[in-house]
Parts: sequence; structure tokens; C-alpha cells
Amino acid sequence: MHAGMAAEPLWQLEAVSLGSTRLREISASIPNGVTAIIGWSGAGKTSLLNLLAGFESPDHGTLHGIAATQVAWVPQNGGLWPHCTAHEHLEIAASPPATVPDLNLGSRAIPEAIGRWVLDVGCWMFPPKKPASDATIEKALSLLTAFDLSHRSAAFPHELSEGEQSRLAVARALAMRRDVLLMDEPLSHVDPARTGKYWQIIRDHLAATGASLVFSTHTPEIALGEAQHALCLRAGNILHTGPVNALYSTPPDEELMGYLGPGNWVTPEEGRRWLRQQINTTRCLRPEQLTLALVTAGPLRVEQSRFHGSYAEVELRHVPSNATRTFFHRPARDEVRRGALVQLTALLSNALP
Amino acid sequence: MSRLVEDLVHPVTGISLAWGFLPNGSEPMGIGAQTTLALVRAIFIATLATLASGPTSRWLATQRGRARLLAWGLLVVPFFTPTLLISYGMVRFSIALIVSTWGHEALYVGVLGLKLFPVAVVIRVLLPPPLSAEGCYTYHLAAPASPWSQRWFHLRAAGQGPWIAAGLVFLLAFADFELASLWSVKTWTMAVFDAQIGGFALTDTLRLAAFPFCIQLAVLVALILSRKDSAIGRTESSFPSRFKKPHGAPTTAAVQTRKILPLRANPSAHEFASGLKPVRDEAPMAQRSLCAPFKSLCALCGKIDFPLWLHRCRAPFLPWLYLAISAAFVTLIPLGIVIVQAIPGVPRLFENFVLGRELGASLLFAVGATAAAAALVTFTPRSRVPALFLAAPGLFGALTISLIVLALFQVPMLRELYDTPVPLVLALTVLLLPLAFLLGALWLRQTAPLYIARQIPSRRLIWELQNRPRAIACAILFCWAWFDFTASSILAPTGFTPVFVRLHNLAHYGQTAVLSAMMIAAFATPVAVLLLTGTALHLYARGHGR
Amino acid sequence: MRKKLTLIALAVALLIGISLWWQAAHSGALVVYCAHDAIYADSILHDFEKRTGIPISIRYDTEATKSLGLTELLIREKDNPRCDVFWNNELLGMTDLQERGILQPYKGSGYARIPAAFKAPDGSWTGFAARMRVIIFNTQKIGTTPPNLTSILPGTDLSRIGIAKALYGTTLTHYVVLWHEWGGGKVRAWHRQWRADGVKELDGNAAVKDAVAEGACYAGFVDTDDYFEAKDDGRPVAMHPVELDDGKTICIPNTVAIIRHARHSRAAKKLVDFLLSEETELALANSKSRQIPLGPVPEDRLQPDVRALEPWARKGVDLTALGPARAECLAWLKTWYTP
Repeated sequence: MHAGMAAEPLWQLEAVSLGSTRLREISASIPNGVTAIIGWSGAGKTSLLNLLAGFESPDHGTLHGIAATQVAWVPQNGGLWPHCTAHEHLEIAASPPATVPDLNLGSRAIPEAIGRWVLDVGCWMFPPKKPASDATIEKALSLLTAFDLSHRSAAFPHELSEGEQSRLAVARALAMRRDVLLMDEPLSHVDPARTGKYWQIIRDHLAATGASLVFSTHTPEIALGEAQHALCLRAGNILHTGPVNALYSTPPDEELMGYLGPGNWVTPEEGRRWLRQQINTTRCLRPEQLTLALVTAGPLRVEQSRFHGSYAEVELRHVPSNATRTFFHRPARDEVRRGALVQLTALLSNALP
Repeated sequence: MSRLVEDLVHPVTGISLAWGFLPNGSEPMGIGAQTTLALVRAIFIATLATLASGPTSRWLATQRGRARLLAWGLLVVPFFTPTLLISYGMVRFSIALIVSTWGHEALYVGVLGLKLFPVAVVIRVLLPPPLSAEGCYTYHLAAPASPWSQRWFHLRAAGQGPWIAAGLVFLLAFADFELASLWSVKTWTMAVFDAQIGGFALTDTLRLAAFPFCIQLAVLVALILSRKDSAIGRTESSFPSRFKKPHGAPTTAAVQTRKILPLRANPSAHEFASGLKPVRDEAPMAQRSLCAPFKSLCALCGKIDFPLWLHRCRAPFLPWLYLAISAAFVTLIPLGIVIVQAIPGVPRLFENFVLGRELGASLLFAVGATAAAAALVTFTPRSRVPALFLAAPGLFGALTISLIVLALFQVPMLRELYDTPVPLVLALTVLLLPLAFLLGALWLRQTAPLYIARQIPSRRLIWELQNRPRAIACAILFCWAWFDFTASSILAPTGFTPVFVRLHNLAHYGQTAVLSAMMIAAFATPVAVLLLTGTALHLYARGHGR
Repeated sequence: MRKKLTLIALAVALLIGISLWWQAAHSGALVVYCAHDAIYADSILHDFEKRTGIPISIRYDTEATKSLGLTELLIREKDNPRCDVFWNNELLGMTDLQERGILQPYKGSGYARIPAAFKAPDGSWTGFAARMRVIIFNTQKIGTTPPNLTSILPGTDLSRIGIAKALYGTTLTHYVVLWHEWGGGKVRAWHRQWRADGVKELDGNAAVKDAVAEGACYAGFVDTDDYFEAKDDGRPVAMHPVELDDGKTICIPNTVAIIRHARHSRAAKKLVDFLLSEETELALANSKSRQIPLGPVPEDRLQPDVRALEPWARKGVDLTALGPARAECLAWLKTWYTP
């Protein structure tokens, strides 16, 4: 990666639009490092990544930044080459990139077509030999092993499972050794137990090459664990950009709070009704910031509780006012039963208001 | 020379002799030369059709709503336009070109090409390139330096669409007889026909046709082999899911008892497109096959960026322009001429309506052949071998098939069936089968929505998802059989002549009002039959469904 | 599987049933193979059907034999004939059938009224209602004086001259006559020279007529009925009969014969007599095709065009002796067209 890039954003978007609704005059900077693009389905994540990859062009506005030739892209559908084996995918990806992409005959379509035809016939008569196996290619091929695909190296994409296809698409992108990786919901079909392992390979690659990563995801844990920056989209508009940690701990509004997983949006007035202690401002309380304790007497009664493992969802009734509300908290185990009386305590650190 | 006007007396220019293939040389044109001529034409037409079908099929895919319907209509109408209508409508134009060897040749090649071009487009729609746009762009990002490697990649990625489109168009162009005979074009089918007329024994005639037959067979075999040598596959079978339908699945009762949704029986068009038998060979060189040279030619057209010229010139009206010209030249103008001429002839035709028996004969043969072809497609085993076995003979052309069927019914065992409707129905069925299997691939697929509609069950949904496409497929087959001329003229039983044979007999008297009115009657009858049947079926489905 | 087999069995049974029904339904009909133009023959045959009550099944040939030539079909069906009566539009094909023993001799009332030059001595076939071979030319292109196409010098551009393919129809008869008159060598050289000089070989006489009527060709060889079609259509055409070196013309009669082992021989005889009658000849003479009666007919009932043709017809070359020439000429033409 270029030294000067640290200060420069990877991309600068100014009033960029795509289609009538896909992206609507968005302006943003995509910084170096790892950026997660977050949003509900149809928010415009794929459209934005397509623009950054150069796969599509904006209808309006300007997009400056990294050239497409410096990008390795993992499209949402993998973009695998159906006629190439897994081995060939990495072999091609690791080959030195083209300096002259193709016959460049400008707008002279007929000579170009004839030229291509001559090449075709030549290709049939003298098929290109496999590129020599150098260290780069060997290293690229080692990615097959890293992504547990070595036993599938001779398989064509249609012979791979969806998880394997996801891994191959990511491995191919890494093998290209470009300055920026763009990944549209990477490893989305990989079983969760092994996702961490593959993300570690990506992290190692970024560390080793100094490359940046821009990826889209629906999984808050992935965004939180991997990204430094977040870019939140809704219906073709950018809702928020900034550090992921800040978005998690102090989201600007209730909607953005939901982009990084469950949370409790509490106003001071609500705090007085539902919490043991007072809060001065409206704020987000993540499940780990809320404890629920069983009591023998109190105004809050459990109407319903669902345990999700890493957090639980509980519906409480404030008996005096008969109001109900759902809270997310993080219990050690599934211990809350309907009808139980409880109290809620917010764990407020000094750093938080 | 006593009195041949001076205009007639010029030294021979030699232009008509320079091109050795073309007619009127001082030496007879052998079957080899005529076959070569047909071969050159067929390769030319197939190449052009395949080149142009790539961008057209992609452009078609972007059309929506009424524009899509109109585009499809304009595209396919030349294919279904009977050659007799073209010939009759264009008689003056074609006569004017008679004196120009090249003009005459260009007219024939042009009209034949315009008629067959839709076949290539439909095949390309059915078999889109398996490489997704994202995959193509990703390769562009990762492309190796060597243009050689890039071309090799794209050659392999083109899929089977261009190859199969080129092969089918080639076969249809190479085996053309009707248009060639109407315009006196030198081609091997005419030579074979002349041999029959000249009194050759059938075996001698077929021996004469052996060389072109071998060419057709070679192309067919190459088509079949190409299905095996490609590694671009996603499903086990290259045939559409309809052929993978479990036995008994069509009945609602059977479906209701099935607990597992047959997911594999619902590939998308894209899956169908790439539904080729995969090869386990690791090396890309394994794809180099005997048919590769032809494939390379055809695959050129599948290269994603070739049609970019269409985008470069930023003229989205070009496809519309092409479709309009094609439909106008082949169909609308001849039809318009006939309609204008027919207006004064209609009352006279109805005063003495003499076509009733012929229309009845056409109806019987078309319905019989359509029913037989549809039944064969429906009941063909799921394996592709029987399907190919059944579909392939029809590609040899009406003349060859008719002569073979004629010979077949001269065998003592079958002689009793000679001069009955059976031989013609059989020949028409054989000729319909390639189209029937193509339509089956297009429309007769088992899909998940259909499966669920059967489970409900909803008569309206089943009509919309299953029976309407089947009805449309049958309607197309019906029209195809209705407009046949070659097989009918050879095999129709005595006294029961289909309408187009009769019209052909009359057409050489030139364009007259009554004859034009007869033409209109011959074209209007299938339309009326189909409209009535379609309306009845639609009302039935609407009245009984939820 | 059982369901499929049942369906296939049903379909086969249905086909056999239809065939049997078809055979039964059509067993009573008189089968006529007709090489004459349907537009003229239809009314005559249906008139016969109305008058006698004998149902007729007709198989027509097409212009330029787009269907299999009926003569060839009859040869092919020799062992299992379907046809009862063959109405041919020329004579030489009939003599071929006669030589092959396919025709059943019959001398009825019609046979008696036709001159001997136009009928087989044994009654195998009988001619009636003739046409003439003529040169048609476009008067707007080359004026009203008939061109002499038979003495064109080699090397002349013939790209505006049209002639039908010689393998069948009346053009074959024309060739056979030339073969008989000139000898095979001269015909072969002439044919080859004309092709070399660019003569337009078209699919049939009608195509030649159209080409000349439209002015695409300036002149060509057709039959009188073709010429009259163009003339009736208001086209700028004129004609002159083809004259051989000795001044004779080519007058080609229709011919009719009963097929040996015909299943409806009584009805067939009735039809043959009907076709050879004065009434039929008059009908054909007064139709648009202006065919020349061969038997005696009242002159005053003929239209002027036909009366004008009669002197030319009387100069017609004797076609009955051309059997050997036909065989030789056709054998050579086959090698030319399907070498």
C-alpha cells in the first residue's frame, strides 16, 4: 500500500446517484482501514460496492479514489468462473495483471472483431500454456489449504457447496494481492463455527499486505469484530458514517442503534419508570449494560421472556401504569419466568453520560 | 440471328461465370458443387445469426412489459411466416432480381437469414452465457497480461449458446428446400428433388443425398458431443427440468402426497443454460475437441465485449430498427400486399368457396401432428438420449424426411397405410419434434410455483403457470404444421390436399384478387382456430379457478 | 410405465382405425391423377362428378412438379396402383408409361373422334386439347417483331432470355423434339452454349412468363396458356410459335389413360370418354388457357385466339414417334442436372 494513502480516503463520493432509488445523491468518504457497510436488505449496500468496484458507474455525481485495477472484488454472487476449477481461479488471480487489457482498436468494431476471431482460431490451434509456477502462484494456491479447499481444487464452481463457493471467492480476492479488497457479504454461506477462522485469514492478509477492506454485512458481530469504520445505509441514503465502536456505544438514534444488534433506547422519562437509577439523557443501553434481577416486590412484572444465548429478550409490565415494554439484557442463563417480579439496573460507566 | 434486338446482343460479361458456384455455367453443377454452395450459404447465415444473436438476446432480456411483447412478436414472426406468402408477396421484386445472379442470391440468403435469425436468438435466450456479469468483471480485474490467455478464457466461458445456435441455424439453412424451390436457387435439396423428378430410384436419390446428409450428421454429432465436452455445468442433465420430472408428478393427486419438494426440478433459465454434463477433467486443454474449430468460431459471438459496438454507438434504437425491418420485409410487406389485393376478391371467394376441403385437410394434419409431437415430448423419458434421438431427424429437412417416409410406406407391411393420412402425420410429427423439444425446454418446465399451485390446488394458477404455456407451445406447433408445404405435397393422400399445396398450385398464375383472398383465408383459419380455442380455454380456466 | 404403454397402444390403435376408416371411406371414389393445371381441370372434373354421381379423388401435380412428378409416382406405384385415370398435360410421359405396361388400353367413344396422330394405336392413351410451344416476348422491351431465338450466335448475352428447367414438363418435350430433329450432339452443344451465354433457367414456364411480363427477361419459351395468362393480365407481351428448321411447330396435347388394374375401371372409362368429348375440348378451348381442340368441333363455338392457333397446330411435329429420343434426352438431362 502506498505510504501517502494513510491520510487520503480510499474513495470520495459526492452527490452520487444510481438508478432512481438505489443510491440517492450520497456523499461520503471511505477511509483507509476496514470499513463495514451496514444496512437492511435493499438499503443500497451492493449498489455502493458495485460503484466502488467500478462494476457500475454513477448516473449522477462524482466518485474519486482508487482505480478499479487496484481492487479485488468479491461480488454478492461470488462471481466465480463456471468453467474454471478452484485451482484455476487462484492461478489466474495470482497471475501478473494485464498492462494492455485487450486488443485496443478504439471504436473500430469490425477490425476488432476480426482480430478477436483470429485470436480465437489461434487459441484453438495453440492453446495457451499454463503460466509457470512461481512463488507468488504457489503462495496463492496455499490459500486453498487455508480455506479448506485443497481437496476441492479440481472442482468446478457448480460442484462446490455454497459455503465452499463463498470461501473460494474470498480466497481468489486475497490471491489478487490488491491495495483494496471489496467484499459483498463475504463468507455469508459459511457455517458460523468456522467463520472466525476464515476472518482470521483475512485479518492476517490485511496485516501482511497493508491492504484496506470494505465489506458489507448483515451480521453485527462481524461488523463490530472486523471493522474500524461503519457506513450505514437506508433506502439509498447514507444515515451515518463513523467509527464502529462509537456507533455501537453511542448511536445517534434508535434506528442506528439497531444496525449493530439489539439495544434498549431509553429516554430519561422511561428511565424513571423502568430503571432503578436515573439517566440524564436519552441513550442506548446495550444488553450487556442492563441487568435484570429477581425481587419479591416491585412494579415490574415479567410478561414474556425469550433466551437467545448471548442475550435475552424480556417483555415487562409496569403494573402501576399498566405499560409494557421489551428489553434486551444479557443473563447468564435462562432463568426468568412469566409472572416473576424483577428490577432493571443500568450499568453506567463514568465515560458514558 | 435474324431479329433479336440489339439490347440482347452484348458480349458475355463473364460476371455470372466468375463465381463458379453460381448458376448458368457452361458445365453442369454437380451435387458436390451444389452442396458446397449450400454449405457456404449456411455457414454465412449461421455465423451472422450467431454474431447478431448475442447482443439481441441480451437486449431482449432488458425489455419489459408491452415493449418486450412487441419485441418478441417482431422477432419471431419472420420465422413463422410461410415461404409461400413471402414468395407470393415478393414475386415482382424477386422477378426483377432474376437477371442479377448476385441480386437473386442476396435476396435468397437475406430472406433465409432473416427467417432463421430468431432461432439463434431464442437459443441464446435459452442458453445464456454461464459466466455472470460479476464473474466477467472480476476476471477483467484479475485478467492476466496475455491477450491469448484472455481470449482462451472467454472462449471457454462463452458456454454452449453460440455453438448450439450456430449449429441449429446451419442445419436449417443447409436443409432449406421450400424457399430454394420457390426462387429456383441452386442447392443440394433441389438437386435431390430433380433426381426424384428425373426418375431416379429412391435409393439412388438418397445415395445422391449421402454427402450433404453426412455433413448434417456431422454437425448434429458435433452438437451432441459439445454437450459432453463442456465443463460449464451446474446440473447433471443438460435437458430442462421437465425431463427430470418424477414419474407421476403431473397429477395433482400425486403431487399432494409428495412430501419433499423436488428442488432439482426447478432450475432457473440460467441453470438450464449451463445445465451441461460436467467433465471431471482438471486440465482446461481437455475441452479441446473435434468440434472446437467450429465452436471457436461460434464462441466468438459469445464473447461478452464483442457486442459492445452496439453500446458504443449509443443507438438503442438499432435492435428495434432491425426487428422492424426484418418483420416488415419478411412478413408485413408481403402480407400487406396480399391483403390489399385480397379485398376485391373476398366477395368472389365467398360466392364460390372452394377451399373448404383443403382447409379441413390442413386442420386434420396440423392437429394430428401437433398432438403426436406434444405427446412424444410429454412422454419422452427423462434421459436426454431418447429426446435427442427423437428430435434430431427433424433437422434433416422436410424433403429428406418426406422421401424417407414415402419409401417406408412402400414397404409391403406398411403399404396398406400408404395414401392415407398416416404418412403425412408421421412426417409432420418428425418435422415438428425439434421445435417441440425446444418449446418444451422453454416452457414445459416443472417449477416451484407450479408445484405449490398444484398443492393448493388452484385451477387458475395451474392454467397460468402450466397449461397456458403448453397451449401456446401447441399453438406454435400447430401453425408450423399448418404452413408446411414440402411434406404435404409429397405425402398427402389423394383427394385430401392441404390448403398450401393447393395454393401453391394456384400461385403460379400470378397475383389475382381471388388468389390473394384464398391466401388470406388460409392464413386466417389457423388464427381463428387458435383464437377460438384459446378463448374457450381461458374462459374455462377463469370460470373454474380460484 | 403401464400407463405409457396403454397410451401408446391407444395411439397406435387410433392411427390404424383412422387408416382403415379412410380406406373404407375412399374405396368408392374414382382416383384421378391430374398433371393439368388445377384451375382448369377442377371445374371439368367436378362437372363430371355432378353429372354422373361418381365421386372423384384428385391428386394434382404442381407447376414445375413441385410435388413428385405424377409419372414417376405411377411408376413407383406400379405394383400397387391407387390411380384409376391419369390426365397428363403432355404426351411423352404417357408413352413412357405405355412402354412400361402401366396403361390399360381403352377405345371408347372419345377415342374415335381424335385424329390418329394424337392417340396410341392400341388405345393405351389418347390426346385431346393441345397447347403450343411459343416464344413469349415483352413488346415494351423489344418491340412487336418476334425474336428468333433458335439461331442466336454463340457468345451473345442471353441473360435476358428465360427458359424453364428442361427436366420435366413441356420444356422436356421441347428438348426431345429438338433431340429428334437435330440429334443429341447438337442439342447438348446448344444447351451448353446457352448456359455459358447466361440464359436464365427458371423453375417453370410460369416463372418464365412472369419474368418476361415484368420485363426482367425480354423473351422466353413458354406454352400458349402461359402466354394468354399474361396477355389477359394486361401485360405488354406477344408471342410467336416455336418453329423448327423445317417449319414445323410443337403442339403438345393433353393425354388421358386408364391405369392397368384400376379398381374402378367402369367409372374410369366414363371419365375418359367425358374428357375426350367435344364438350370438354370446347370447354378447355374457351377457358382462359385457350387449348386447341384436336377432334372436330364447330368452329363458330371457338374463340378467335384459338382459331388463330389452329393453323399453327396443324403444322405440329408428330410426337408419337419420339419415344427413343425422349429416353436418350432424358438420360442426358439427368446427368446434367444431377451429375
